Amino acid sequence: MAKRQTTSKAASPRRKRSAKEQARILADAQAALRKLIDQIPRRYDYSDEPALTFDAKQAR
Amino acid sequence: MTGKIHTIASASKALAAGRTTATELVEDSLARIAEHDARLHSFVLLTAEAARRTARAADAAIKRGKRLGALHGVPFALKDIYGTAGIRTTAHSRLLMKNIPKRDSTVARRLAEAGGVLMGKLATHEFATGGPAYDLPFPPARNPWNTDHFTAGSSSGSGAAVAAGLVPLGMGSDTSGSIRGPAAFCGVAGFKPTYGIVPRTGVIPLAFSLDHCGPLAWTSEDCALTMDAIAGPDGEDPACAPGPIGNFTSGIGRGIRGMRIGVIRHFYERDVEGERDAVDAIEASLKVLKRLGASLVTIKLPPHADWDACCRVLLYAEANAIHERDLAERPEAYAEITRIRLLAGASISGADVIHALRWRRQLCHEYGKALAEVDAVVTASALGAAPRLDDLTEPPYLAPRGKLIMTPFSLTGAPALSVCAGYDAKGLPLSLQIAGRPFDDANVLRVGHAYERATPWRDRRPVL
Repeated sequence: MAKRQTTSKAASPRRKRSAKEQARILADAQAALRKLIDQIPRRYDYSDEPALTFDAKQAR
Repeated sequence: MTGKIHTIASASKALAAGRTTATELVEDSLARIAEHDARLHSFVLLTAEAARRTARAADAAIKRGKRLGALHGVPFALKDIYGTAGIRTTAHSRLLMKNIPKRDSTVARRLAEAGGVLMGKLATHEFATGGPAYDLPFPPARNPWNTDHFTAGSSSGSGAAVAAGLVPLGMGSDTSGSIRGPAAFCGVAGFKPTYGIVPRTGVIPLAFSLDHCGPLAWTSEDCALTMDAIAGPDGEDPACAPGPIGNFTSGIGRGIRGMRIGVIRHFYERDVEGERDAVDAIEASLKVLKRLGASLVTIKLPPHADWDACCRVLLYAEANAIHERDLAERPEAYAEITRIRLLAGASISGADVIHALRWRRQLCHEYGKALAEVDAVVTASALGAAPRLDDLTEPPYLAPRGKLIMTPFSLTGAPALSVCAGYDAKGLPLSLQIAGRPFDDANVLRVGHAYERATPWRDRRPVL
């Protein structure tokens, strides 16, 4: 049998952050997302296969 | 009350043999919920009286010889993004506290038509993305194996409720791992079917091109039984593949002798750093598959970071589009983590999305090539046991909540199953992921079932 769990700790609601703090948190999230975006290959050399964002099945 | 914890399969057999009744199953479920859910917070709404009525009707029908199938009389619950006619559907959000849909989601309707007994609505991360968080109308669900630990998300209540034996089936949704993550951390089976097999009609979306509906249950067999009831086009979800879809239980019990299984080692050996226990559990699982008669070959895909970047960029772009108006008009109604994640998506440009879509196609092509030579693939699901919950409720909010290998199978829409692969030294579940070619769902469930039957992990339940 699994070991009996420890008692759950009750969490208290977080204090409300200032607008400045929230702006910083959003900027951090945008920077993390930018790192993901920067990994996307962006080159298109005009001889690649046709754009791959829509297919005939979707055109029904 | 019997006090027995059933799987779908065992409940179904007992009902068919007259050894139990739907009413007894529902009362057992209600008793366990009453005893344990004040600490687990897996349910956000209990529909006890309606469940008792449905169970009585099921018992009467079964007595008349009108048994509908494996789910008839079996309790289940829905992640609270599945629309339910006349029953509040909140997406765990203040924005939808008064949302009472006029009609059932297709999955809710199909489960009802199969004779399932709806017990209530389950906790999720807000809109299937923002969590875990305390600034929401309901607390986050807690892991039954240790309530100080995270369930993973976003199908958090589904993972917790099934692991704790409150219900044998919790429906979840998976956009970038939201079925398989909770399955991994809560030690249950979680199945993300092929994209377009289960209609999303009536389910609150997160990202249209990535959203999948699927089951969390104690075993792979239970997932297969559920899939037989919910799969197939409904004429409303345009992403659905035309039917017929096939039989998901066809591989259950057939074993895996002669199957060729690809092992994606680089995901857990190089791409993402795993905890020793988790990696050891995967290696031990490979030995089990080999012993069962499968031949294993190492296969290579693009690095995990590629899949993750492509998937998350598309997810946040689509999610931002869905929430654009509410983010502008009432941003304070969201939890902070949800608001920040959704707002960040506004910084993705049109060109970013187009390039990501082109990349997605290329990645899918790579997946198809690699899978052409094998019947299924295995890799990590979570590369560690569930972390502590309170360590995850603070910024940075875009950082992953746990080491999870999810997005390759989200982007490709391929069927993927997380199963329990043992326990770490603290008794927390470890996991293994099995995936396959799109529309080869039955083979994935077949491998999962064979693995579960050959290992002792399904014999252990959390002590509550």
